[in-house]
Amino acid sequence: MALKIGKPKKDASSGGKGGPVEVKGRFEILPDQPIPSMDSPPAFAFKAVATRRKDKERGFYAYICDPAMPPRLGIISLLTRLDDRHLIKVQDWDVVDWPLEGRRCPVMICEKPEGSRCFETVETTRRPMKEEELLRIVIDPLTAAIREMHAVGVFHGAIRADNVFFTSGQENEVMLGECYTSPANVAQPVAYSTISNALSHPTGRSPGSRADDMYALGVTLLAFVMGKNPVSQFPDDTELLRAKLTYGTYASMALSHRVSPAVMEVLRGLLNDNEDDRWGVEDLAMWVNGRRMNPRQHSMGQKASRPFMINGKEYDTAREVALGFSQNWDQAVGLIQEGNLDTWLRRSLSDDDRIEAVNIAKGVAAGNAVTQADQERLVSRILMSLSPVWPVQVREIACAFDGFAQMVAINIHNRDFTQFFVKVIDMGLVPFWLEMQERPNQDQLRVLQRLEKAKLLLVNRQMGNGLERVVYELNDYMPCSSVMFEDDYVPNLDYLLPALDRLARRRKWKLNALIDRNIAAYIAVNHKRNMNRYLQAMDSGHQAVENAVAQVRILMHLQETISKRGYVDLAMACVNFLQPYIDQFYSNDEQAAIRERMDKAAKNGRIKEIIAIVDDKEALQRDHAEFSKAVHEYTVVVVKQARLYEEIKDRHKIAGTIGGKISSGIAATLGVLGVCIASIFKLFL
Amino acid sequence: MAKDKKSKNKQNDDQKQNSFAKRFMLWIAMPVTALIFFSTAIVIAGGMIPTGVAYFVDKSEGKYATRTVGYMNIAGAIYVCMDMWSSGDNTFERALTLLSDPLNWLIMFGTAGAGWLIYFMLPPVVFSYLHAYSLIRNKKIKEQQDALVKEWGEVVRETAPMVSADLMRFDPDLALEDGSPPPLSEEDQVKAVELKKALAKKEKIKEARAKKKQQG
Repeated sequence: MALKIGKPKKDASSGGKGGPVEVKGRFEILPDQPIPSMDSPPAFAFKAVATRRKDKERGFYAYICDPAMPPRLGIISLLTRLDDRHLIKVQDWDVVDWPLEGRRCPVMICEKPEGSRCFETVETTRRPMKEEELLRIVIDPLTAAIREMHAVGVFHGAIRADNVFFTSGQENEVMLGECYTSPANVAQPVAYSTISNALSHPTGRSPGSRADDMYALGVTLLAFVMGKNPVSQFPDDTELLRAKLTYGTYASMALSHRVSPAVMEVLRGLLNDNEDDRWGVEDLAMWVNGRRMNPRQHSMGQKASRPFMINGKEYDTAREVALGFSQNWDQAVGLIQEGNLDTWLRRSLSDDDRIEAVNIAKGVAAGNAVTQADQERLVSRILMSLSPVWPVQVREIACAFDGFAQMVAINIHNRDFTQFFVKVIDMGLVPFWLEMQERPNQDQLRVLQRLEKAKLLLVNRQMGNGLERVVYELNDYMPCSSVMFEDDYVPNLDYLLPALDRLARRRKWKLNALIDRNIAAYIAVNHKRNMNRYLQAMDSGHQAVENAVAQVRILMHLQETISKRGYVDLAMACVNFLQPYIDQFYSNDEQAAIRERMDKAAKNGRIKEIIAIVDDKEALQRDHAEFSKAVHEYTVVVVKQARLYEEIKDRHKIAGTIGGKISSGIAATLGVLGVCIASIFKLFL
Repeated sequence: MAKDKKSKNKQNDDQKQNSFAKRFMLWIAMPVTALIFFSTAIVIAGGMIPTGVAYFVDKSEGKYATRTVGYMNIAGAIYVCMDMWSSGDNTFERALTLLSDPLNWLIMFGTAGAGWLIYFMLPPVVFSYLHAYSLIRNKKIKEQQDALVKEWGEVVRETAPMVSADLMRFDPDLALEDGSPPPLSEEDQVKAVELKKALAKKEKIKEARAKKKQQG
């Protein structure tokens, strides 16, 4: 979801339109005063003012972040501890009702730099900097800033020319822009991304590393040296990418410009495509202090004597062939299976390492890859074997080795991406990528270990597991991405119950579920206590009562352990949700009484009191015993009814019989009486 | 068990004794009495002709029409005989004289007619009474059922057994304008037939088992 600034929703339900939005009682954001010059897509900037008197004079602004691109809240506390004037300092963050969107959005309050942006956009031009200027104004402060960040284990992930500001209007020093309003590297242009990241989908790029920051810094320095976008000569990203793959970053971007030997040295060091040989921040600091080094040249791989043809285009190196295959996926299967690639590798390229890698990639079953899945696996492995820097790719989607967590987190509701992730895990492409690396490092092994764990969770379909669990296990600061919170933002467990409370109020206490699969996984990962018992009870969910009670019980535990305050609307929604439990009572009077007790308990917002009513098992047993009696009583009445209808059915016969009996009785009586009277008259009178 | 057998044997003995008494009365005591009181027997035999007709016409189980007509008829016949008994002339001629008087015939046949009148008048009265009473009972039953349903919901009705559909037709509340029950649906008819068959089969099995037991 991209934020729409300046177009308030007609049915915006929260917040006053245009009125100041309060942040933790310390700041006020002014929605009617956007600051486009400070925008950092996908986040937008608005003026903010401090409410405390002592901060009144300082200039603040707020970033309204896109909830679909979760901001890096995990690094905020680390960044607030840094006291470096070469970084835009974040003051605070919160989640607020944003009136222009009609939903809740995460916001960051930052201190506004006095100076302007060095490059308004990537395409902006300015006077090229000389070596001395570059060192004093750009390299020196940025090195210090990056050094500070790396020292506390934070990677910037958004270093680019248009995210660098002058610290003052005198333009004698620069500072780094924000890096926390969206995931690292996601907003980086291809030019500022390493080959592996550039080949990956923007959301599937590496979540940031020292090496990535240094590479981006290299391109940024190049932009300052040239005074313009360093890749403006390339018509599009594909061409740029092909040039990077063919000639290497430095050669493709910097060679065509005249730069001093000293600056060339820095650029060579920073733009080295081999991560291990790339300069680190310490190397750069040493260079700043006058130590001159000769960066190692990165080998781009052998060029073939004859090009390899794919779809009429010529490709000269193994990397280029990988690019060709990735762009012509369907033709690649034929070219690999028919042996064209083998022939080219042996006869034209003569690179033994590649031949061996490709043979490993093909395995013994390459020729038998008939199903689409087998063919996808084969091509994907071939890409990685042709170029170890290649990300894990299946058809159109590619993801850096360490970018899976971020990709699946951002795209959890996108079927294409989730299927891609499942495929990659099923096909075992991650371990194969690592197998193709010359020197796998500890971080990479750790990533593999986490993904292997994820494999087990992925196949587990129980509540609190599955893909959702994997997402939260792999991303420490991932907000809850349940569809129930599409108008809200839940960055951590503290925000979960208030968000549910708001949802209950909006839906007038009628919720289809209190906890869906996504929230269940979120709780399972983030809550300190083990909730498996209740999650399993939710799973035995064909029984509506058990499921409902388990969901309410989980919320009760959250309320008791995390947030002690009452949530009236959520409690009322819980009561409605427990209707299946109330329906278990046969007696309507008892149902009404239980409902009344629950409503009363809900009025003070304590879910625990509602659960206490549910836990009273005796009431239910009593009701069931009374019901058995009532059924018996009803049965007796039914028997009476049947007997009555039998009588009605035979009533003519019965009336005849009774009438006959009575008439014969009457006749007998009348006869006897008549005879007696007659005999008295005849015999005695 | 032994007690049951004893009481059964006693019942059989009583039945045998009754049939014997009836036969004795019919074939020995009555002809002897008729021979002794010949003139009275002739008057009564003539006067009781309507009762005889009623006996043959009345096909009902309890022969209530015969009884009603008979009781009234015998009273009339006795009244006629009283003339003979009070005069002390119990001769055959006197009996013929009485029988030749049309007034006597009118008395004897008239009382029999009164018997028929009583017999035809009472069943409709009883029927009306039964109808009114069944309405009251039905209302009361439904009130009891509704009270239970109100307290426990429809589930109590669903859990308890139901009156069969062929009987349910006789609910007075469902009666048609002429008071007759609504016709049974085809489905219910099939069910009713199946139920009857099943009951008959059950009865047969029960009988067969009882027989086997007896033989055993």
